[in-house]
Amino acid sequence: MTVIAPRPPVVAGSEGDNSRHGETDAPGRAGRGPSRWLIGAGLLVIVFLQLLPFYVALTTALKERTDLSSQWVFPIADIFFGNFATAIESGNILRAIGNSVIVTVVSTVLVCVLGALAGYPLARRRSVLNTGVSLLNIGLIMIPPLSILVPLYTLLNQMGAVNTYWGVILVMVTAQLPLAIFLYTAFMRSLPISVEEAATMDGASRLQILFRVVFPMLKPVTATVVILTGVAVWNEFALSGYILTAPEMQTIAPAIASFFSVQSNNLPAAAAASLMAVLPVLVAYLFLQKFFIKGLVTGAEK
Amino acid sequence: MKSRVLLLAAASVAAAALLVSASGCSAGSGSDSGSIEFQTFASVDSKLMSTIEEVTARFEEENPDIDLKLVASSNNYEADIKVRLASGNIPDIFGTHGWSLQRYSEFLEPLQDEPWAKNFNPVLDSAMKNDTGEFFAFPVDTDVAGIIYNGDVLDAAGVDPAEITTWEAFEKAADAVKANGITPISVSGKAGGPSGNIADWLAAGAYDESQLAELEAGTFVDEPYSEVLTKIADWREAEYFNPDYSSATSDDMTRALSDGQAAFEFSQNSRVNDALQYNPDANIGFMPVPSMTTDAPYLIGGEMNAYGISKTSKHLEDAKTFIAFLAEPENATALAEAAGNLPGMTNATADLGPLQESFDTYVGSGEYPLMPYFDRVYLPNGMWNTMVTTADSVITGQSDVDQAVGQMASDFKSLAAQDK
Repeated sequence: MTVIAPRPPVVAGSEGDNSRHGETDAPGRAGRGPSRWLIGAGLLVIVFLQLLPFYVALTTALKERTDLSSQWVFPIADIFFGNFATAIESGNILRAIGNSVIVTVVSTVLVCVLGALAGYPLARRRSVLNTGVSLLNIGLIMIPPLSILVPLYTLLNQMGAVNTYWGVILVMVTAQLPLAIFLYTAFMRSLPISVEEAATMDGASRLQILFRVVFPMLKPVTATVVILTGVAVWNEFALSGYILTAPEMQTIAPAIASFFSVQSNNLPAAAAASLMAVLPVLVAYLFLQKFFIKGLVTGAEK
Repeated sequence: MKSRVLLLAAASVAAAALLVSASGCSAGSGSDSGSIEFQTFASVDSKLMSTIEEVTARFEEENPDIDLKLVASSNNYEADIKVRLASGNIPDIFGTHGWSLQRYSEFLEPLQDEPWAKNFNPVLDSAMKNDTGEFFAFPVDTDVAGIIYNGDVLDAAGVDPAEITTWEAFEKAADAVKANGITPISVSGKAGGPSGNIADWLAAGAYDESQLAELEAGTFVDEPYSEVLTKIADWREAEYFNPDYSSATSDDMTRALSDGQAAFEFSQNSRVNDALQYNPDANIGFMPVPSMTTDAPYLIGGEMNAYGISKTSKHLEDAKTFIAFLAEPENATALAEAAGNLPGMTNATADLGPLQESFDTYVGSGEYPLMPYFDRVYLPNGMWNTMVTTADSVITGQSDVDQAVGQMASDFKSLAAQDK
């Protein structure tokens, strides 16, 4: 799966400054000449490399286990869909996709809401305590989740949270929140305080400012947080592999992993399951790409 | 307006979270819920898993009050079980993958007094029973392994596997195979276990009795191990291993064996079952491992698929009833056949398909001694990882034999001290 790197914030006015000095052409003319072909060729190579794993997964998924031809060869004559049936029947992959949708959507929304709420005071009240909290928050990003596995699992077990949606959502939100808080805090600090001061002058309360003035301005960073959190939770295996062992509760990654054991494995069925698991993300991205790109561009226009 | 939308969104998230958590509460598993959790140590669509499902369905039909929850395992199984044990959330029944005695016995219910225990295969005594005769898992199969070979590849190279009784003969055979353009030994460097298997298979025949006693007493004897790794280094020099060693997966090994791209593999026989799924007509067998100290080749053996019951299980009696059902001859036979090995019960029989001939020749004759897995019996707990990494470093040429043996010796010392 492709992770879309967040675009670095563009300093307001820089584009105008450049054009004033005549250092670059207008955007429409920027890529003319041989450089355009070079960029085009480079992009084609990148697209090719990105699509390659999907192609291999597709050829693997469409062949019988007994078909030992090269993974690069597409089975034109005898396409075999049995692996998809195995993935659905034995691997319970549709249920796993449903579970992943629930866990990812709820976790992502919670991370966005809680991240924005936590980021606001950290951005606007620069007390010593808040600086300490911000630093601590950054420190939390650096803790490898697996290093706390046994105490975390023990705690979840005592709470009755193993093999439950709320247990895994709690862990996912906790793991993703520090980065979201960091991003929201950094973004809110770059927002002009004058807008909020104007709202105060108009008689708005703190909460009204937060909900009516600040939150609507957070679209760009929210797009980034949604992408980072959504992709991370959708693909998460290290912790959910332990927390979700019951077949009916498993999300996609543990469900696909159950096609591989020490003694045997079924690569074609796992490839079929992986392809099915990619579909919802693909569909979601196709529908939401306008929003994502608009969100990112909004940051540049600010 | 926007604030209303936001509030609505927040409220719906809260409601969704509440709903989700409420529905999640009833889905808990393990010892606390109404059903018996059975961690099977089998992948979700394996032959063994489907046989377990069939037998369990019949059991539940006969015992409608007992509900079982079967859980397929991943490659992460060992770590998963360790975490479950450490946190106290132990599955009611779980696959002990060769460690029912040394690692898991303190967590498991002794089973020697069960009615079916009289049929416990005595071949497994040394691997699964302690000094007082207790054993802690129901053995589905008896893991007997040697060097797996592709008979067609050996035929084409003019090699008769029955004549490979020494390492010289093995190397001669490997040269003949290589001359035909086929990889003599296929190993996966990526899987992180198969390279250790080679050292394990060789080491079992590299130590004499007194040296083994020293190992058991907690002193590492480096000379025989040095010979083992030198042998592996020689094979690297002779280019016996597959060129894609580092990137090859365990599945690549299986495919190489099934379609005649490799002659030999140091692996458990469960791999043969997998290879036959790729190519049902593959001509695969296994042969005893030549010894480095004596003239007598040997087989490696011990516990493989075995199921223990947690002694803290809230469904102890029901779990015992289920295990007793598995141990019935008809079911034990079906399970052993699915596992592709000799049954762990004396009152079960198994048709082992293409491996039957190898079993009849080498196991049935009783001529070849069954050696335990070297690391499980003679090395302290945790040494398996070092065995794998040192063998791997010799195969890739990252360290020489002396460095690798030095690593073994130092890890042996520290892990043996921890065991005390």
